[in-house]
Amino acid sequence: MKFIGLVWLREVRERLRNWRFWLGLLSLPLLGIIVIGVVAWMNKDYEPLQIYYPSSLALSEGEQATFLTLIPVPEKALDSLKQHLHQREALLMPQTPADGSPPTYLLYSREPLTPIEEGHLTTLLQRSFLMHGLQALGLSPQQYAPLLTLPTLHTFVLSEKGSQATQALTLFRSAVSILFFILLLGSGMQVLLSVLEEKSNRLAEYLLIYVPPKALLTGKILAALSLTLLQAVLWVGMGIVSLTIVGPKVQLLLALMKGLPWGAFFLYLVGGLLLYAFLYAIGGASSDAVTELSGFAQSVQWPLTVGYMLVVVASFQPSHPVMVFLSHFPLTAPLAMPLRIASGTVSFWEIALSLALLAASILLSLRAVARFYAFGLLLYGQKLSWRELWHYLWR
Amino acid sequence: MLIELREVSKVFSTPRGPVVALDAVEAALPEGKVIGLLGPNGSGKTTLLRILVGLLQPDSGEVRYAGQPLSREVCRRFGYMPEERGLYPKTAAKDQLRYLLQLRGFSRSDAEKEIRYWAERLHMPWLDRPARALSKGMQQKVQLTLALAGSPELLLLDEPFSGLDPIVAAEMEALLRERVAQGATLLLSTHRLEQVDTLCDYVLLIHKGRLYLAGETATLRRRYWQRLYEIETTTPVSALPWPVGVQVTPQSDYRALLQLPESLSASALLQELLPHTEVRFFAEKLPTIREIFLQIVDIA
Repeated sequence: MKFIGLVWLREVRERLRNWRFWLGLLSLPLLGIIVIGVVAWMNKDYEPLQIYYPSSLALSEGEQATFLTLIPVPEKALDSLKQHLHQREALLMPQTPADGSPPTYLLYSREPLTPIEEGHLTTLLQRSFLMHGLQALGLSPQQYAPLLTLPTLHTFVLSEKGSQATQALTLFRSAVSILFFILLLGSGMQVLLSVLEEKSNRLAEYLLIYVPPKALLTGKILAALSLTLLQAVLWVGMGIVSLTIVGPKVQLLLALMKGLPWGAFFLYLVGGLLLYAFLYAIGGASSDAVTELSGFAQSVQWPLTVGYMLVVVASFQPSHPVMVFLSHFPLTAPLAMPLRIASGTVSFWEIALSLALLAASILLSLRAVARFYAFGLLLYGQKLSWRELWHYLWR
Repeated sequence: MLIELREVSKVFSTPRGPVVALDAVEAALPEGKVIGLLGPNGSGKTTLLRILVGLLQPDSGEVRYAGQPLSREVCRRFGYMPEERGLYPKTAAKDQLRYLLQLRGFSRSDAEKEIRYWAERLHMPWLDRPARALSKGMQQKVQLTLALAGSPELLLLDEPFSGLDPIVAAEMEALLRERVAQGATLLLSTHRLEQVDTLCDYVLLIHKGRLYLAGETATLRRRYWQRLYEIETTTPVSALPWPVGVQVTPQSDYRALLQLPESLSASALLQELLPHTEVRFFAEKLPTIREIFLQIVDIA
């Protein structure tokens, strides 16, 4: 225990003293602040798009929306306007077919419309077309006004815990998947670099005489786990604080988070961290330096990266066979299963099976590490091929 | 004898097939001596040292230390300096020493005491600097401190002089002699064969995993002596009436190397020469360990 403590203390101290650690820790929140800041700044300077249209169109005159201002102009001014449009100005020209089918509108501007502006304009034009149709049927404005109000839709996902607003759920799932991915990758890389530090600096042989290999590796992995969990707590905390400042949705989010199985999330996070820590330890011991990584070390990140991309795409259908597979395959289960649990679509037995497979993988990789770690550390100047690594793992 | 190697063998399994690193090595190493472990590259020296410090286990045979089987607890009492050695580049040398000594088993306060002692002894006022700011010689001093701290009874040094300039090497040699004089046993592997004659009391020669030579330096030199003598005379050597059977190799006009046959003693030779010349210098020329080494490796 003394050795584990000494190694753990040294690893944590060196990481905390390293500015790169703090840069990594603060980069995501800083990025979030920068993005939010830029968006807020752009919103502050935002000018609604002024759209000129022929007065004969009889759109709602002077209609002002958050994003659009409609201004009728005489027909004869249209050509001149088209040549002299400025930024944040556009010209709307209708093309009405003779057969009575809905008209087509052409919009000319100096810069493309944003999707939101385009959406609002489309809605306005649809309402205008509908209004004219209702007027032609002889309805008065008092009669057709209610018909022009479009319905709204709120979606909820049902589970044993009740219903959860889809929007909040989507936000939460995205946050969890990104968080888990970054934590797993970051923690694994910490272990890799830590192992390589002693191998490439030729300290491993000295250390292995006085420290049992298991204690050396355990200290390193515990240090990586500690720092990763610290990172997770800080990020989640910063995220909740930011949301509290930003808007009311945090109440919904907190209510959502309260009902989740945090125990299972924690198990998957720790299980994933252990599995990738062991795999990266083998990667470090089979390489010679950061610039001479073995094929295995380079490959370890692939299931994590590809798995994350697949999970992001497949998570919108939590019960799809792809997502079910990803939530049971040990290398991607830490990413996929928490999302399925959050969406409330997975049974207890599925979770139990997934955890059992993850545990079995951890034990298998632990055995591989135990066989290879000390031996690999003494293989100076060698970057092992897959064949060589396989031979040494199971010799 | 302090260390006994009993038929120690080690075979490494590689994808290209088994590699015999040590083949039934049998030796008994004395206490309180400087023992040189010699051999060409790949001969098994490092493997043997790693077995002695407990990094590797022999596949067969046994190693005994002070009459007891070698164990991790016993090995922790040794001071070791590996051939491939380094330091954490960004950490201050002092902090590294403290950390590594604590891993060796020192308490924090004992580690600090050792650091203070060796900093003064080896003139290391720069210990607050990170390792990457130190020269190779400075780094070697730090690594030597790790090996010497706590005055271990057995020092195992793998190529301790490699990469050192002559001044630092001489300092290190003096320090090691001092430790041996205080009762430690030193086992070092080296390629600097010219040092072995003066530094080592006992040598082991390993080649291709097998032990070819083991014994006291003086005894080995006597054993491999080929009845060579050096002579300096006042008469040109080419003009002297050498007895039959004496092989003369002139080194200058007045100096030569002589190889005497078994039938002719040195005193008999001198009796024959003295009527013809004055002899300024006459001595046995024992082979150096280097010459013995080259002879054996060549044969092997």
